Amino acid sequence: MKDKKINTIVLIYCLFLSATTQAKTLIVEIEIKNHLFIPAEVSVPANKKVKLLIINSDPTPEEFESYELNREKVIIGNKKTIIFIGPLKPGRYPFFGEFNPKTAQGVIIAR
Amino acid sequence: MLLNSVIIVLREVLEAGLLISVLLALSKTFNINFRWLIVAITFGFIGAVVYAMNLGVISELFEYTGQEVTNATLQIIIYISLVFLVIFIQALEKPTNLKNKKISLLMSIPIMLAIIREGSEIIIYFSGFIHNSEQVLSVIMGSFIGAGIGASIGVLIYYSILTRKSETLLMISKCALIVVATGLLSQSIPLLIQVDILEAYEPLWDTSSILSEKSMLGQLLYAVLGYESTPAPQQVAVYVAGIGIIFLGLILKGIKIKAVR
Repeated sequence: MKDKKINTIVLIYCLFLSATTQAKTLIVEIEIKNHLFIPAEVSVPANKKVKLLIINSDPTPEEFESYELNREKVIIGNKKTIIFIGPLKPGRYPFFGEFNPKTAQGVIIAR
Repeated sequence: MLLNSVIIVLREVLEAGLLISVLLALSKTFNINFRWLIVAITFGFIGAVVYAMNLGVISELFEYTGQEVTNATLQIIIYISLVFLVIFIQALEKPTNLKNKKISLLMSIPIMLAIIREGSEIIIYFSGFIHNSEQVLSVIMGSFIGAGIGASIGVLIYYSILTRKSETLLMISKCALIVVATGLLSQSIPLLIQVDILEAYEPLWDTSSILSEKSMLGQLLYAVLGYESTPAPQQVAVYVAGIGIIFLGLILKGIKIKAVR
C-alpha cells in the first residue's frame, strides 16, 4: 500500500519534471516559401536544446539538411515538422534545402 | 539543377548499388539463382512508392517522429539481416553449390529495405519537379547521369570482386558487408537524436577540417562506411558495438563448427 503511494508520487513528480523541461525547450519557427527559408538567419541561445518548427508553405517537398548540425529531414509540401538542435557551442551552423540548394540557404547562429 | 540531381541520385544509388554488387558476387560464387534479386528489387520498388506516397502521414506520427523512427528501424533491420548473412557465410568453409532459401532471404531483405529507404527519397525529390516543365528535363537528365554513374561503380565492384580467388572473394565480401551494415546502424543514431528520442551531447570529435562531409571523398565515405566528421558519442559507441557484435558472432560460430567436428 505504502509502495503504491510512493510510486504514485514518483510518477507525478516525473510527469511534472517532463512537463517543465518540455516547457523550457525554446521553439523557433522557420518557414519554407518559394524555395527560401524565412528567416534565413536564425539566432538561438548557445548550450541549450532548441526545437525547430519547420513549416513548408510550398506545394513541393524539401529536405532540410545541415552537415554542421548533422540533421537531415524531408518535409512534404504544405506540411510541417520538427527538428531538435543543440545544445550548440557558440558559432554559425549553415543549413540548406537539398532539393533547391541554389535558393534555400540559411544559417543558425548560436550565441 | 542538373548537377544537383546528379549528386542526389548518385548518393542514394551508391549505397544500394554497393550492397547489390557485393551480394550478387556472393550469389554467383554460391551458384544461387539471381531470382531473389528480382523479387527484392520489385518489392523494394513497390515499398518505396508506398512509403513516398504516405511520408506526409508517417512523418506526423508519434509527435512528428514517424519519419526518423521508420528510417532508423529500416536501417537496424538491414544491419541485423547482414549480420546473420555474414555469420552464415562464415559457416560455409568454401563455396559449394547451394540451393539455400535462407541465404537468398538474408540477401533479399537488406536489398529490399535499402531500396525502400533510398528509392522513396528519389521519388519524393522527383515529385517536386513533375509539374515544373522548365526544370523537369534537367532533373530527369541529371538523375539518369547520377544513376548511370552509380550503376557503373556497382558493375565495376561486381567484376573486380568476382575475378578474385574464392577465399579472397569471401573475405572482401564479408568485410564490405560488415562496414556497410555497421555504417547504416550508426547512422540511425543522429536520426533518433534529431527528434529527441535520444539525448544530444557534444560531438566526440571534429574532423571536418581534415575531411569534410561536403567533399567528394567525404560523401563517398559517408555512403560506404557511415563516415561522420562530428559524431555523437552514442554514434561512436554503436559503431564499435556493431562491429564487436559481428566479430563475436563469427567467433562463436567458429567454436561451434569446431565442436561439431
